[in-house]
Amino acid sequence: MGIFTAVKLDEIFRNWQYMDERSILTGHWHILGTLTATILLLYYADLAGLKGKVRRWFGWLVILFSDLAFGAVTVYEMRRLITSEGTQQPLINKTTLLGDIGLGTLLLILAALMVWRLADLFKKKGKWSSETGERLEKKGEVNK
Amino acid sequence: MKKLFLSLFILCLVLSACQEVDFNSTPPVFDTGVDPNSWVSIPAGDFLQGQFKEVMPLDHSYEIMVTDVTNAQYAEYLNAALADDSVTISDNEARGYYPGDQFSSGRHEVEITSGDYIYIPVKDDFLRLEYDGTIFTPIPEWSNHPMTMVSWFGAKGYCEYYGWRLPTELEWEKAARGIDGRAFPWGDELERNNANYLSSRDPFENMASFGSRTTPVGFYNGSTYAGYQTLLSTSPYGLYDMAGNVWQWTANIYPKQHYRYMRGGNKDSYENNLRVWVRNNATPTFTSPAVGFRCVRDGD
Repeated sequence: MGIFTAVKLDEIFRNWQYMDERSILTGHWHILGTLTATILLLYYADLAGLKGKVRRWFGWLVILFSDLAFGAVTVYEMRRLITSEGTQQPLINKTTLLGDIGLGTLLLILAALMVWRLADLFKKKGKWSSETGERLEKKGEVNK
Repeated sequence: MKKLFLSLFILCLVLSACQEVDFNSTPPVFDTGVDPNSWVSIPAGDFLQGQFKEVMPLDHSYEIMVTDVTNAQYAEYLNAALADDSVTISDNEARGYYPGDQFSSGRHEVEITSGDYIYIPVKDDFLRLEYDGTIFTPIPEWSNHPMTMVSWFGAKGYCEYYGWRLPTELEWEKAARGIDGRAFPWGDELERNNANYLSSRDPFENMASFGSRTTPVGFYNGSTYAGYQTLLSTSPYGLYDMAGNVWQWTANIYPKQHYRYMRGGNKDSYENNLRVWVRNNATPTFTSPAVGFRCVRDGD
């Protein structure tokens, strides 16, 4: 998307008003933010020890809803390619709603993961106990 | 998993269902009582300019229009200009002559040579004028709204036709904020009924359908329109609509670029873009349903 924008800069975007161009740039950073958050979330879920069916559900939901948010924001930021300034509102409404659904669901999935980890802290022999051991072991190795 | 995919698919279908939106539905009609032919004097002297309130000298006085140029005023101008051939119609555009800019070979600069340039598109869904092949007539419901779909050339052409000119950015800003460094024409706080901006809930907008539309010039004068209470939102010199409604073209031509600058924010702007120092820019041929202008003339 960034490369496409750069290549088309003179041809398309600088024919638009500056405020529309700024919307593209803002949307672009939102997309990058979403992608980064998705990658970090999947990595953390792997570290946190999600296994089996829950792991598959978590992974697919994160990918699906982050893609939904990504796609919606992409259409939103590039809307001037497919709709005029005067007729943009219906498209804005749809893409905003889809983007919110995608991001909102991502947050819910993250909250579920956090709740699961929080509940684990209250178990006597939860995952936290073995993880604490792992960290100490590694620290010990470093100190040697 | 299959259920999830199916649900998402259905959701997308529902959201993308084609619902007809009438972008040209008739707006409410209000007489604001503000005369678009009135002018105010701006005295010479320093003022606080920009976000950081730098003391800026302005060594001349001038007069500026109290409101944006309206559709009715622009239609009257076009008819006069068509009659004396200073504006012509070709390829569905009203065009006028421009002597060109000095080209300074800036990066990305496009040379503006002498020639005829677009003033307005004659056939456009968001042009609030009708053209029958001979004369322009403002659409009655929109006649006291700001003239939009007008290029920088068209704005300049209008002002110069009457011996006036577009305001410079400094002239515009001083007229908008006075000398005390305020952020908005009426002060430092913005309420929804101070100006027409994004989701300001004025009687002309429907964000679930066609979105935002212009308000008549001088609308935010403290009056109540069909139950909608506005706040008196004039600048210290008594100008209306210096924040929101439509971006306003300014005169400056800067070296090494062909872009022209606008001030004031518009009906689709977020609140922060209504602050008097915020600038927008576009090519001088750019037209939009949310860009208009007003003129200045030299003072005594």
